[in-house]
Amino acid sequence: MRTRVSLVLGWTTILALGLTVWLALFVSPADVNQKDAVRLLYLHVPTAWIAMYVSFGVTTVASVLWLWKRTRSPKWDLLAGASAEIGVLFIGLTLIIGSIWGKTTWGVWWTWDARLTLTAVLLVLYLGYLAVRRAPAATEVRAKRAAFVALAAAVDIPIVHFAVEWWRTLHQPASILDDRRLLDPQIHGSMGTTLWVGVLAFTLLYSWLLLKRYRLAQMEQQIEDARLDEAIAERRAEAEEAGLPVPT
Amino acid sequence: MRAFGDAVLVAGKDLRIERRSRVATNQVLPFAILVLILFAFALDPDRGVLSRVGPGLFWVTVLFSALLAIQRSFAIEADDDARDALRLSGLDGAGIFLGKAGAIAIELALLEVVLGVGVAVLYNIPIRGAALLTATCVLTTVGIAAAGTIYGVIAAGLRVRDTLLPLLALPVLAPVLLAATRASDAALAAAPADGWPWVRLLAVFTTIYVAFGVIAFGPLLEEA
Amino acid sequence: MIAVTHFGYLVAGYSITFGAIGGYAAWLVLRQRALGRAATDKRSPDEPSGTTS
Repeated sequence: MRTRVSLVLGWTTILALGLTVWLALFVSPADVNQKDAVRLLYLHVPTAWIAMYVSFGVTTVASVLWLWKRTRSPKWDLLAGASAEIGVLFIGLTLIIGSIWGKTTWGVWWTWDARLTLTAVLLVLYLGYLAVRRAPAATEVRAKRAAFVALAAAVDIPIVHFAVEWWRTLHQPASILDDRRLLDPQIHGSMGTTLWVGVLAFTLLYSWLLLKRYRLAQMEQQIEDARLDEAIAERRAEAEEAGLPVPT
Repeated sequence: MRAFGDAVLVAGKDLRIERRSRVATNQVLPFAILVLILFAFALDPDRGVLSRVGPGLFWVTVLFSALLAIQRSFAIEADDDARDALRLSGLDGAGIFLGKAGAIAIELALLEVVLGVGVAVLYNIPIRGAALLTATCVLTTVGIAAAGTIYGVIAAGLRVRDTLLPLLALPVLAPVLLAATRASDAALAAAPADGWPWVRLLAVFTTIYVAFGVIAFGPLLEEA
Repeated sequence: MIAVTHFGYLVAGYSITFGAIGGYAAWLVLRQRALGRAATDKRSPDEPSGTTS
C-alpha cells in the first residue's frame, strides 16, 4: 500500500508550510510601502501559481491523454477531476487573499482590473467543469464531455498570464498590482527566500492533496461500478424469475 | 467540401423547423424585448443612464436570448430520437456543427436587428459607426453561436442540460461580451479608432471557437 | 511580531487559508475512511476477505 508515501509527503508538507508561515510572519521584513500587508502575498502568489500552472495544467494534460485514444485510460479522467478540484480550492483562496490584500493596498475589496476579472472567470470555468463531472451520466460519456470542457477552460490560463501586458495596449491605466516586484531577482534576502519556500511548500501540499483525492476518486469509481454490476445482476435475476429471456 | 454541403442541409432543416414552429419569433424575441424593458425599469428611468449603458444592455440581452436559442436548437434533437438519426445519417460532424451554429447565428442576427431598433428607440441612442457596428455584430454573433453550439452538445449529452448550459457557456462568452460592448461604445461615440482593436480580439475568439467546434462536435455527438 | 500593521487582515488571510486547506484535507481523510469501511462492510457477507479489488 502506498500509505507510506502519503505519510512522508504529508509530514514534509506540514513542515514546509510551518517553515513558510514562520518566515512569512516573523523572519521576513515588512515592506517599505505595503508594510506588513506584504505578508499576505507569501500565500497569495504560491496559491495562484500552483492553481494555474500546476493544478489546471495537470487537468489539461490528463484530459488530453484521456481524449487521445492511444493513451486513453480511466485513471486520466480521475486524475483530471482530482487536480481540478484542488485547483478550484486554490484559485478561490487566491481571490480571497488577493481581495484582503487589495483592501489594504488599494482600499477596495475588488476592482474590475483585467487580471482579477479573468481570474474570477477562471474560477467559474472550472466550477463548470466540476459540475459536468457530477452530471448523472455514464462514466465514458461524462469523461469525454468533461475533457473537452477542461480544454476550453484551459484557454483562459495563458490569457490571465498575459492579461496585464495585453490590456495595457487596449486600456491606458497601468496595473496597480505589482507582485512582480517579489519576483525581481534583485530582491534578495528573506523576501525572495520566503516566496520560494512558500511555492515549494504549496507544491508539496498540492501533491499530498492530489494523492489523497485521486485515491478517493478511485474508490468512488469502484463503488459506482460495483453498484452498477449489482443493479444489472438484480435485473437479470428478476427477468429469469419471470421466465423472460435474458441476454448473455 | 462535404462538410459545407451537410452544413447547408442541417441549417436548412433547423431553420425550416423554426419557420414552422415559430419558437424564436413567438418566444425568444418577446423575451428579449421584455428584458430591454426590465432593464429600463430597474435602472434610473432618467434616459441619461440608459443611453450610456445601452450597448452593454443590448449585448447582455442578446446573450441571454442566445441561451434560449441554443437550448431550443438541441431540444428539437431530443424528440423522436432525432439525435440518433443525426448520428447515423452519415453527415459530417463538422458539417452538422456548422449547420446548427449557422442556423443559430441567423436567428440571432435577425433578433439583433429588431433589438437594435428597440435599443435605439427605447434608450434614445443615435446609431453611428455603421461599419464598426456591423463588423462587431457579425463576429460576435458567429462567436456566440459557435461557442453555444459546442456547449449545447456537451450539455445535451448529460441529463442536467438546461441548468448546465448557462454555467458552461457564459464564462467563456464573457470576454466576447466585453469586446462587443467596448467596440459598440466606440462606434456610437463616433470614435471608431478605439473600437477596431476590440474587433480584432473578437475575430480571434470567433476563429478559436469555430475551429474548436469543427474538431470537437463530431466526437461529442457520439454517445461515448 | 510586535506592533504589526494590518494585524486583523493578516489574521483573516492566514486563518481563512489554513482553515480551508485543513478542512478540505480533513474531508479527504474522513471520506476515504468512510468509503473504505463501506467497501469492506459490503464485501464480508458476499466474499471471503482474501480478495482485493
